[in-house]
Amino acid sequence: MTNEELLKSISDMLKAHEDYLNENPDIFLGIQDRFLDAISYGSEDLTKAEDNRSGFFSPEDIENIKDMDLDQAKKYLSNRVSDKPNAREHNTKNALNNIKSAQSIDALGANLQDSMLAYARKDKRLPKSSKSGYRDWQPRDDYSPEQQAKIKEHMDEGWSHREAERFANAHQGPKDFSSALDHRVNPSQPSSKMLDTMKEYALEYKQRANKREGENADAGINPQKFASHQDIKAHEEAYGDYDKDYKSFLKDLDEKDLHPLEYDEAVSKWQDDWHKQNPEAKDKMVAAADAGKVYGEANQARSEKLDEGRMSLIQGGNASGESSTGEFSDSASAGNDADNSMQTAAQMVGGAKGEGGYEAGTVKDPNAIFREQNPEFVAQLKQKLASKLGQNPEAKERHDAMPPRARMPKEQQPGAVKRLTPEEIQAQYGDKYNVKKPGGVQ
Amino acid sequence: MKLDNFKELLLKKSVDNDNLQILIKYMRDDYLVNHVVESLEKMAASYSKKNPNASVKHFAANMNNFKSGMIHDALSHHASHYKAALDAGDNKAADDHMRQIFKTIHMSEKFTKDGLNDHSSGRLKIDAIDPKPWERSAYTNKNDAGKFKTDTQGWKRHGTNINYDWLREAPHESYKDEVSRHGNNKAYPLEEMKVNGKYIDIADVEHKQGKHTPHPFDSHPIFQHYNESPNSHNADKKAQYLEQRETFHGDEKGGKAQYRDKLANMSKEDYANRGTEKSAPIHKEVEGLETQQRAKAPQVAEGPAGKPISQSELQSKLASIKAKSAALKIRRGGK
Repeated sequence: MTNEELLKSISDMLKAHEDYLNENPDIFLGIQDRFLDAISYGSEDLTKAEDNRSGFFSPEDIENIKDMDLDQAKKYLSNRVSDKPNAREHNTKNALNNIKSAQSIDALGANLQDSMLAYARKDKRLPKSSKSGYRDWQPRDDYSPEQQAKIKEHMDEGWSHREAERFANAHQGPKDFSSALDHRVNPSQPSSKMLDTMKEYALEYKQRANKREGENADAGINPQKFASHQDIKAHEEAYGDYDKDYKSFLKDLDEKDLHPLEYDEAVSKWQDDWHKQNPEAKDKMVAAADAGKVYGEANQARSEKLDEGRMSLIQGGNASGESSTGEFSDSASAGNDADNSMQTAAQMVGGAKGEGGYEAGTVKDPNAIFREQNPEFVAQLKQKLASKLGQNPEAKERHDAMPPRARMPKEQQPGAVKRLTPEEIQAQYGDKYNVKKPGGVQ
Repeated sequence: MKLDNFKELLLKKSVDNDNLQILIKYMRDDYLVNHVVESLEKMAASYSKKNPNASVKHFAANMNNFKSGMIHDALSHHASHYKAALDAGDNKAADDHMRQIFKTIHMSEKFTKDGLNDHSSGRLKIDAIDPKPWERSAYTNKNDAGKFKTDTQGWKRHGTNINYDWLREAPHESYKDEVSRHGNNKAYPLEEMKVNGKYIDIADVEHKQGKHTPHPFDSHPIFQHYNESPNSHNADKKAQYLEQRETFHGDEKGGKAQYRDKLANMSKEDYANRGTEKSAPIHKEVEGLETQQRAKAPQVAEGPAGKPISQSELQSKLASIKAKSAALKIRRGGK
């Protein structure tokens, strides 16, 4: 059943019992109350927002109490306050006190004006609000026709509803400090148009920040940023004067509103003249292209640095020194034959005697821990590095110091399957497999 | 984010690979960070390929209204011929023209991307809807992990054997969000393309079966050089570009001379009026991709009488009835 059908059937029912209801208005009022409650219940979400703004009383209440005596009016208004169970307790208490203390209907009416201000609810005040009470922005529903027209005009240009509301001066923020504290509306996503507009303002700052980043970039850490900056810098140095003069010239030319052919002729003439006056500029422009090589150089530097890091991971404490403990002295590493007392040895490695005996203060090499925990990964890394050797003599030297397994070619490593030549297959399996010799038809 | 959380993310992602999980779990933090950063830098390295080389920067630095007009004219030319070829059922010729459109925009993207480091100083701005949602429809094979095998390339997809049938269909469903943002859920809206704020001018032109009609701008040497990385495009290549550019500009039969001939018969007003209005859709109507309608902000309330009643008016009337009802009760001596 649709709402319209429901209303029609209720209306028909009331009409059918019109005489009876006129004689028994209490029953009519009872039906009306139920009906109003049903409407309120059905539109609860909608009314909550309105409840927040309307306060305890409506303007009709002031009219209604005018023809009542003081007690009747107080009772009536107290009931109206009780109709708002979601109001905060102190608001309810204040409203009831105001009613109780009023000495006349006029005083009561004046109090009502104040109490019509919004009160705060003790429960969630609006649907879709977060736990913190913040909610999304919603457009108001009481714009004037002029405001509506302006808002529509701005929205047609691509601004969001909230932005358009501001531009149309239709925005209503919190009216006082107290309501400002209670104002909890989330920021909205800016429209694309707003972002584009802001980008124009931000571009200059962003470019400046990028430039500074590039100037401070380390080729070994971020080669791309470094190289990009060097490249752009070279371009700016070669084209700086040209760009400046060209922009200035085009700006003047744009104002002349020429036919495209005349425009092109003017540009060509200016370019020819400029290059005649700056004969060395073209060579500089050409030479600037070589700055692009910085990309390759920076990448290579970074790659070498990474390889060194990997190598130190593989070799760990073996990187320097002849003894098994690397950079520690022979004595400290117990590399010489002389015996040391526990106390001497502890002092050498930074240890001390504690409650549980001697405790060493040295930390185990983290690379060694990693090697122990990730042997497969380390083996793969060794193979990867071994394939890159030969290009760098230092790396070759380090490679020679590696354990033999990592130095072996892939096919010679334990577990690798040997690849047979066609002749070996022929000798071993005869004609079982039809093996074609490379480079000819059999 | 703490590294532990990041590690947890990695562990979740590597749930199918025990070895990888163990490696992530026990790998020292700084090594993990190094490897992640290394991977990111590789991605950054691929970004460097998008950086303009010296010739592109030279082309951009010399941008002016005449050149941007030439690019507008070239795009309009190819779009018009694309439409004519499609209408004639000559899809191969249509693809040739579309390929040149892709190439032109790909080239222009090199120096105008995001408006940052715009080497043309804002003198060339091409607004076109990203073709990736349509492109995805042609490359839908997935690997075992459920990921697409082929990445979309957007305007970069202009190889010689590419056919652009996918532009004539609805976009792929994996791009639903993006499509719902711009709202073009049918065949690719070429007519929406703008150069410096002006729509491309799609005219009715005659199509000769199997024949590609080039535009003078197609012979500009920038098309031979723009896709080289800055690393490989050295001073020799730049010098070569400048030489070729001289021919394009100075030769009597060069591309610029051909374009000037085209403009000779056009008045200043006609030239300015091109693209002030959007052309009719090029592609035929196809069934659109179903996208979730984004929740729209409530409409502005209709004020004057006779229009639908607003929520506030409804609430006001309701409050009035309630007040009257309560007053009636009080007068009758009830609660």
